Amino acid sequence: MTNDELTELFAEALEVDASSIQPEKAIAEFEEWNSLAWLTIMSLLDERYGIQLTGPEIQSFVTVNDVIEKVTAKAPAA
Amino acid sequence: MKDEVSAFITDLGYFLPARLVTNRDLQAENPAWDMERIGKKTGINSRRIAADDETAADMAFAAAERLFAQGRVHRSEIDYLLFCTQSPDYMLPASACILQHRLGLPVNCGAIDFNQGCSGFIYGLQLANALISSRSASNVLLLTGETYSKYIHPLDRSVRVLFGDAATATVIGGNRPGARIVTSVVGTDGSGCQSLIVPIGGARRPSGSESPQEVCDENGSIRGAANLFMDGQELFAFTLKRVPDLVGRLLAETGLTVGDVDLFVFHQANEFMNEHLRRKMLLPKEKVPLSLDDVGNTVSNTIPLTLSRISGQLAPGNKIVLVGFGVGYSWGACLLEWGEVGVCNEPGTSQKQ
Repeated sequence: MTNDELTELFAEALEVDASSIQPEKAIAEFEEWNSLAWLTIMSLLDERYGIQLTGPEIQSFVTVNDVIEKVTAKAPAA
Repeated sequence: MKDEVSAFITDLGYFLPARLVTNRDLQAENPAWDMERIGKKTGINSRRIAADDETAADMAFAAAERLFAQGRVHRSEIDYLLFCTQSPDYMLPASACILQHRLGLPVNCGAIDFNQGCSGFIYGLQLANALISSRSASNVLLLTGETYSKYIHPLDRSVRVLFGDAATATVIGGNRPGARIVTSVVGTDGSGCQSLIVPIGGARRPSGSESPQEVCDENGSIRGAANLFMDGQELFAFTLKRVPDLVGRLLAETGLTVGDVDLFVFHQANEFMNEHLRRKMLLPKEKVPLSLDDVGNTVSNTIPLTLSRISGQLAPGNKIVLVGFGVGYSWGACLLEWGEVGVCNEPGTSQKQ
């Protein structure tokens, strides 16, 4: 899994252009990144990579990069 | 040694309250809600909501009366009443006691409430099975009834769009024609108790002990501590973790494979979550019915309601896996072998009494 793949996944869930997903951007800045979008992200991460995020993890994320780091850390070593 | 007694579902039916709340109604009330998108995600386009003076017990009463009106089972034959609800009429006594009297059940009938939500029907079947196979009861009336609407803040989008009110009635008897309860497995993880909760109103935080302060969450939903709170992300994480294991446990216990099962009736949480679970477990779409569009998530009612609605497609001998999961956390799955069941499939409308 690459950072680009994750960015694409977020863009798909948020229904926005991938170019608007910058790592340093705060999640709160995205109007589309609501609770419904999180469910879609959780579903896609589980489906594509078998990775599950917990509620407290999601609550702790501030920037896009926080999510990417956590997901990458949870990915099985290639 | 005594002969073995098996438990069979002999009769099944449901009741929906009259008041209809459509997505269009919610959109008109809340212009900021994107109801078109929410409708697509949840698979819910309308839900039925109990009248202000109509309780879960009232609806369960109506569901039971409609079963008795079929004439297949007589009220004098019922010797145990189980009522699953999280919206009882009173803190005490048990609503089941009130229902025993209202339904004219014999006074030698046992009657208890049990407080479970989305797993409640599975628990009810497991308890009924145990009562019958131990010869503690001959005919169990299992009622489910729920009015989450009474706990929901009208401006809390996260739950208002999802939940509907309903009641169901099921009769379980010993050694007679019906759908056999083969076996069930259950589980509990109370560490998830805060994920779906009405914080105020019990003994821990009595109603009236705190000022009813309402807060607006980061999604713009408003609720107070006496309202239903749902952490959708945590609940989704819980189902991903537990439900595939649960189904695997039941199949292992019964020695069946997915291919041997004719139908999987899941708790109807919302279409997005149910479809994700289905794909994750590699279950074919035609074996996993959805029944959300016109009723929403009706908590402990979803499984018997869905089973009622699809019963016309079932044949004797069909193997049906029922799967409930949610508030608690609590979960359970049950294998049924279908047979002759008297299904009362026209949902009544509210009748005041």
